[in-house]
Amino acid sequence: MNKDFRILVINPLVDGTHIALFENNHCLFEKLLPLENIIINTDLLSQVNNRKSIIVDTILSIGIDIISVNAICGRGGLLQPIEGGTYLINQKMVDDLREEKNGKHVSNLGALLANAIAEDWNVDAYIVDPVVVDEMLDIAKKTGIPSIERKSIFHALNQKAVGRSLAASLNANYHDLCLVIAHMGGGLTVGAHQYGRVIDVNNGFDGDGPPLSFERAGSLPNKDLIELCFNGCKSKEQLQTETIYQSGIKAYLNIERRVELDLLWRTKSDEVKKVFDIVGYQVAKEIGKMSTVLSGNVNAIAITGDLATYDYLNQQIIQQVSWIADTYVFPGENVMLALAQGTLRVLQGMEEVKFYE
Amino acid sequence: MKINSNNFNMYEDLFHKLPVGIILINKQDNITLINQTAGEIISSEADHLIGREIQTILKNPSYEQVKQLHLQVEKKDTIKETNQHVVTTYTPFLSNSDTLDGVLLVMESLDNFKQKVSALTEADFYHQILQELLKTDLIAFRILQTDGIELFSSELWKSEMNDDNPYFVDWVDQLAMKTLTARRERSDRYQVESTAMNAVDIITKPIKREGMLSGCIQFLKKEENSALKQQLKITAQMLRKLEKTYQIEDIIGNSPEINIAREQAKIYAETSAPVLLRGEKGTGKAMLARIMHMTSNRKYYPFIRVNSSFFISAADLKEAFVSISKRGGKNGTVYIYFNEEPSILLQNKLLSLMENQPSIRFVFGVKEPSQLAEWHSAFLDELQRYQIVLPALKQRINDLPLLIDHFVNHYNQKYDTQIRKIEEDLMDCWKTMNWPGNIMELEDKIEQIAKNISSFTETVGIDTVKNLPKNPNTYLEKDDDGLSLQMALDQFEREYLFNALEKHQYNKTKTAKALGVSVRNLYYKMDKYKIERGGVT
Repeated sequence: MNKDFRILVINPLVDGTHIALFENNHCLFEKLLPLENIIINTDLLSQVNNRKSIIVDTILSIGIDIISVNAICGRGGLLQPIEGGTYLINQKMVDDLREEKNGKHVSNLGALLANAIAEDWNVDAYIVDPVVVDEMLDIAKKTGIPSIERKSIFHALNQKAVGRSLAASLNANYHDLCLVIAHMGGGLTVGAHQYGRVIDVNNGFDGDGPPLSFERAGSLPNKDLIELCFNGCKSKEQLQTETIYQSGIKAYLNIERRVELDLLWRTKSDEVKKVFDIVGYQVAKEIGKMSTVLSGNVNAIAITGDLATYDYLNQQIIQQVSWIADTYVFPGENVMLALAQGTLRVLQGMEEVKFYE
Repeated sequence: MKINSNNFNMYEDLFHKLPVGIILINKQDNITLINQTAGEIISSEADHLIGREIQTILKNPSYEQVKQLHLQVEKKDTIKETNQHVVTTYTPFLSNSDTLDGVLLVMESLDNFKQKVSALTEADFYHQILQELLKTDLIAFRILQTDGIELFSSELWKSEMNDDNPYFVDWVDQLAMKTLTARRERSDRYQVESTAMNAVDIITKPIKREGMLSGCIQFLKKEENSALKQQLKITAQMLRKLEKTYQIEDIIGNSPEINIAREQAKIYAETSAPVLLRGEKGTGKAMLARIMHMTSNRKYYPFIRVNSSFFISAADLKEAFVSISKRGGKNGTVYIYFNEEPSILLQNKLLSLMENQPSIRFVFGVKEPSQLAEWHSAFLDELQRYQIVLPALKQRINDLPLLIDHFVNHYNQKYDTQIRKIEEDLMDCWKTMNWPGNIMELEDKIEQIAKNISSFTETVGIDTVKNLPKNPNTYLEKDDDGLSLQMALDQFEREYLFNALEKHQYNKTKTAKALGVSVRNLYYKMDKYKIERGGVT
């Protein structure tokens, strides 16, 4: 029987909560609920009640019947490394997030909020492909210093959602394909997807292997980085902030926000093109690297994320990787839809639900 | 201090080099003494000016008040020869016996004066603020002089003042004049005809300086589009209807009967005690149960609705209760509708369920007239403490126009029709009707009209209704509870098929053609609805 499922999706952001209500794949409404200024800087865990009541009040004020909601899905947070998929939120997961066992991050609230509301409404709550998805081969984790191992931190949600969309457009199953997917957003990650598992991916957050992105430095030569650390000008925190949030395209073009890039692209495209050439070159090189991880057995390449809206950049990449496989472009990212679809696959019985242990 | 020839030279030097021009004028208006600075301002040798009449140098040297009343006068003036602007100060020059010897004129170039003002006062600062205010698109205002002439107006004011509507511009001007004459604040609302801008408020305030009226300021405030608000209200109501998340304002009507029910619902919503809702079918018992849920703090938790037939059909009564209490959660509402008299066993079970699940709020609905007397007394006692009787439509027939208005708005939106008025003949007919299906029947009637009427029809009378295609299912004489959409559709389809078959004497080929379906499809549907085949193929 084809039953319609209603799924409430919750994506907590630093200054607000993004919610959406889906009926199967169809978004009934989505809304960004801003957080009161005096609450933004309070401890994250103490924000749960406030955010929860804003979400529930919004849904009630719109006039949605809460009994019609079948499941709630939250953006997954910093859990212990797990394989990709849709997880039922259980007590163990809630405890880990409450105790911040694997770190503090606003996405931790996703599962906590979903769980708190689901308890009131007597429905199940899920998370889908959190940032801690780790399906990396052991060999891929090794580095030149035995005590240092590479970590799997990447936008698993969008990478996997794009993998599925790409497979669907090829009339194939995601789990039967070998794909290289480049997500170009605030950070830049290129993943090698082998039969539904991301067996190698650069760490977009810590600067382990990735190309430069909109705001991240990417990989830097060790010697120069060490010099930079010990010349005494900047503290550890300052250097971290600089390499994670103030480098890349931002530093080259001296801009702060994404909209400024759009403006610059319209007014001074020649300057922007020079930087896009660098990004394109590095992304193409990374796609080449991941193709060797897959032993050259690449069914297709996908480019996605915010920066994939620039056709010029896409073309720079495509012309360098076209000898590997066909490249498909999925501009932007739709976190809310990806979360809803992950939950829907479980509700419709198309995918086994996973349990966090 | 004694002045000797040495320091006299020094004082003379000082006199000529003062930063302001000094002129002494005698009673005959002739210049008797002038310093070099004054000469420079006038652009002439100081010595050549001695003996000249002041009127030949300045355009408006009025100092009568100085001469007559011995007052000091300050004003702006112009040098005749050069057209340069100056600031002049006239001071009476008095003898020891307080008689006027002449007038002392101190002058300074206006540019100089302005530089000092901007350096020493905050005039520049306020000037800049005003410039910003004039440019902003956040407030619409203008400032007028005492004679009603506009000094300046903000960009937003200019764009809001519709030049195409001279009557409006005139009206705003008149309001300003009223304020200036009355010297007090005046506000008024102007209803603009166009639908884009519905009404504007103009607020006019006088500006006074040291008790003197120096002009007025007018603000323009736009009333948010009320047509849009109305539209939004209807849409929100529609959405609540679709989602069944009714609120207290969704109860339509002002009659005392419905007011009592509404007030009771508000009060009982706050309690946790079980409530009994009584009313004929179609009076809105289920709706009221939901409203009580949405009005209380339980709105954050689920509302479960169950028919008593659910218990009868449930193989295991215990399991049925477990599933209800589970879905009802810890703080939800469970609404149980008795479409038939409950058995003693069921009543006892419900009684114990209520005792075991104190956090769940129970609301019961029964059809009137009901044989309550035959019920198990303990259960009835529990229920009868809080009961609300929903009036039948014929008991509150005065609410009919309001209800019609509500449903017409609703279905106009749904079916994209333009019905504006129900004519009196139809209204009179409806007012005298019995309405066995109550509000549900009325709603059904209006939906049928909206569904079948042309989208341009604005008024509906008896004739319009008579000419509508007859709906075989005009009003389903069924319980309001318990008929799913699919069931209703199936029932409709079945009866429609029957009628079509009858019309064509059970000739399937003809019937299929008339219905626009294949013969195979017709057979499938006949099998589905267990309509016997046979007759002519």
